[in-house]
Amino acid sequence: MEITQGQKLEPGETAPDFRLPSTQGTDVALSDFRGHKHVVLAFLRGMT
Amino acid sequence: MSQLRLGYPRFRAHDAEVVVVTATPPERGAKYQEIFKFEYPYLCDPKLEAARTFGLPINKKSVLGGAVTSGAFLSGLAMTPIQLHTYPQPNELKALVTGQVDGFFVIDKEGIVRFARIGGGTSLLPNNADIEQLLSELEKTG
Repeated sequence: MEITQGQKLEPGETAPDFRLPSTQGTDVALSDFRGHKHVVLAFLRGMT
Repeated sequence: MSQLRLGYPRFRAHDAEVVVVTATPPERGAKYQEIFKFEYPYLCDPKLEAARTFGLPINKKSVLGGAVTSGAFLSGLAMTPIQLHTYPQPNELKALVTGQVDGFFVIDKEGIVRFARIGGGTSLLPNNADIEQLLSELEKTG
């Protein structure tokens, strides 16, 4: 399986938006927090 | 992700939300929710779309891509598709406990990336005091 890598994000750039299902059963978008929350975002390792 | 869980109350005090993205399918993510009772959003990205747009290294040799490959391998050997999508996987549980991450970002309220680190392992994650310091600086600069 080969998935190409996107462009590496650097500080100062606008974060790309995404919307994904959560384990709590609701969909969450990064843009949901825009304007009222900073976001501490971690991509968890070793995921399947 | 015990480190982020420990820091969560202090991050919230700085007007921040923690968001964790995994490649876990939603069906199995629901099981993790039952086990770990996550307080903040754990998002399911089985197609690795968000990971790719954030520039994470995803291929056969990466841990993340390797995990996907091993999942397919397991499904062909010993697990039915239903089992594969329902039961926690050892590598996921290890990641949840140890907090190993492939990418870490702090994004301000305007959607601008203020901190970015891509790689792998526990050392990728700044300590909670440093994360809190950065959030404090974001508060001062608006």
